[in-house]
Amino acid sequence: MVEKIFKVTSSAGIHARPATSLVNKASQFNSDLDIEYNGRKANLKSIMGVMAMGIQQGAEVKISAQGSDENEAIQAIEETMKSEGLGE
Amino acid sequence: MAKKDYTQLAQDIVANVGGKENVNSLLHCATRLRFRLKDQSKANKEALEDLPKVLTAVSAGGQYQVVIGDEVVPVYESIMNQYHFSAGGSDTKSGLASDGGDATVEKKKENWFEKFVSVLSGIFTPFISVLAGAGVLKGVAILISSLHLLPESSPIYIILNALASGVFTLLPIFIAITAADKFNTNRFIAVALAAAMVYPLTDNTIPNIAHLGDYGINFKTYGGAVIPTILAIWLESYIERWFKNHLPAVAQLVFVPFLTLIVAGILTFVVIGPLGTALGTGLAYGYSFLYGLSPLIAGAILGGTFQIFVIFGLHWGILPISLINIQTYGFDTLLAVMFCAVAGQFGAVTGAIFKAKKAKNKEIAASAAISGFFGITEPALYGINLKYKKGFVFGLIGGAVGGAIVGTAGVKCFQYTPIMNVFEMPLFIGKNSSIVWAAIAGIVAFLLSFILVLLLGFNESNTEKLFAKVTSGKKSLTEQKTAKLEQSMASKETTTSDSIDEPEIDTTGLSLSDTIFSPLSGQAVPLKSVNDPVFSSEAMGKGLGIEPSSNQVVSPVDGEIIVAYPTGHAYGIKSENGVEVLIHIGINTVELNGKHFEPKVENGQKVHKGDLLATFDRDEIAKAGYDTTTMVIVTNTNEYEEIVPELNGRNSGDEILKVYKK
Repeated sequence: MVEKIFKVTSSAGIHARPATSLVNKASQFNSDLDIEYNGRKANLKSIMGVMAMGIQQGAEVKISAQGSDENEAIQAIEETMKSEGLGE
Repeated sequence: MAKKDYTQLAQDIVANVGGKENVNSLLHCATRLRFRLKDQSKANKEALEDLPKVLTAVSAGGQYQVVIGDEVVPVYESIMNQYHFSAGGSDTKSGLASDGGDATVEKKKENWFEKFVSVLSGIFTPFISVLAGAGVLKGVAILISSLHLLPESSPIYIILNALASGVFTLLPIFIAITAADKFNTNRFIAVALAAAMVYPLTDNTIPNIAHLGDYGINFKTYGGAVIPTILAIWLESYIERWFKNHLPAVAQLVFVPFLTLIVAGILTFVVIGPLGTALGTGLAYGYSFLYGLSPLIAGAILGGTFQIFVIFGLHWGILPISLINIQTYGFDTLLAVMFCAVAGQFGAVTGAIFKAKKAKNKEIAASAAISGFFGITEPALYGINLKYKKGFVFGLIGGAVGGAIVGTAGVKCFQYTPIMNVFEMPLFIGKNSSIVWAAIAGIVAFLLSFILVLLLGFNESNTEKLFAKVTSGKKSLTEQKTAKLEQSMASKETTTSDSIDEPEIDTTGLSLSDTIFSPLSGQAVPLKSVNDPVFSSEAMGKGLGIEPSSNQVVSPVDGEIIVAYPTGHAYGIKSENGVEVLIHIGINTVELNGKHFEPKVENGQKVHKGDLLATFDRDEIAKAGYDTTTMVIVTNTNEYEEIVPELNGRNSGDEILKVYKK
């Protein structure tokens, strides 16, 4: 299990478009990926689940991965976060 | 290329295997990039082969293989640095996650044999270089001991031998790692199981065989075991998944490994072990049966065909037989035949150095000959011999004659090696074997192919046409590519517009799961024509767009609001039947930050079909410069077999999407 905390920097938070990027990236991995925000947890492979969290700018989210490719998954998510200008 | 920068090449390769979206996973072996693609028809073989450094591209064993040669590692790394593909194993899952349809297409294309080969090569490829390196080390150790350079009690010898033999005896551990990835299971549970299989070897007090009633169970047969390990991990993957799905989350941490190990472990020792041993022994017996009939013919046939298996990447499916032979009999005869087959292709490509008229071919032949000397024939095969078929045939003839010689002389190999070259020759030293005959056969295979190429040439003009095409392509490569791109874009457009006209989907035999009703009045349009790739690519799921003619959005289903953005532009509703519907009003309207939208519902609120969700001012939104097309999307599309849009609806409440169960 690996975890990483990101600070959401994009002004619109994690809305439809970035949620889709994250979910599509997450779905490329075998590992189970979760996103945690405000005490709630959602499956990072579900677009609606991620959108339902209503993650705003400035939020701190914890992404965790568990599975055979967990390290690669977290790294890829981190890169998506950065390349989409979502967070750091 | 003065400075070796593979960035551009990496991008070109990925683009020509159908883009990064088309790649399920990527591995490499000594000379090839081994792609698992969602749709192999998207790969552009010609464009790939036009790329510098790319020798050829072939589809085999369910993989799309791009043959690079010596520089495969930096190219692979450059691709992985840029795209981060999964290194195998995840193909089934990611395929399903992105599009169930594609995954089934891929499965249909692979028959069981290709699947078997692709599983085997997928398991061996990641550590083949370690196996080859340890094989050379083993050769050195054998050389030292057979020439009595050092006594066997010498610490130097003991260290060398341990370094060389460790990999082979504990091969189940290596197999467990890659097989776990291949079968989508936890690596460490798999390694624990493989370690348990090898463990009895480490303890002298454990008997070789123990009886359960009358049923004898062998305990010390798993050193270097291939097939039993693969079967054990395959079974273990199912058992682990079952426990994962049936145990409560709190108990999973300890009890999934605990129960998986107990169940898989007992089945392995009691059922798979004896079964796998029987199967492996059967294969080995089958091979020796052929060999027993006539070593000459068996050697000639194998020597003459082995490199054909290499072309299709099938040799990794055959090589384990050698390993099994060594396990079963303590020696193997196939490896000597393989040695001659390699020598034949090595000879043919060496001949090509002298015979080639084109400077470029001379250069390729020279570098391919160097690889060939070390037992890697792919550059020779794809760079020269196969391209000018004669060279390949001469190589096969040399291999067949060499194979007949080692067969007749009964040359044996006493240690497994996946790659055969001069340095591995000490492996032929042992009882009733003759390294001299191995050397003679290798030299004959090499010289025969070499001389045939020198005498008869390899007919560069034969494929002159092919070469002319490549060179003319080089002249205007950019132009050609642009044209190709335009062409493919044009054809894409045609297909898109076709599908806009008639999105005909056969729904016979499917059972309806839910119906989604239009949340607002307006003209329905296909999702693919929506002016935003995140929607039109169906990355979010299937659905459609509506060009609104009213300012009210109502619930399309009975269900619960699970997404209500404070910005009011997007709503997610989970229907009572579990369909997740996203209504996204306008494109990029998140940027309006709530302006012109008035939400009427909150998160968690239960709604009925037709309940008002929000009002918005479509004229003001349009004035602000935003497209008001409203998308209605099933975001959990993956969970359904088919989602069929109904484009004839005009009014709020009309049926617009039919969702069919898997």
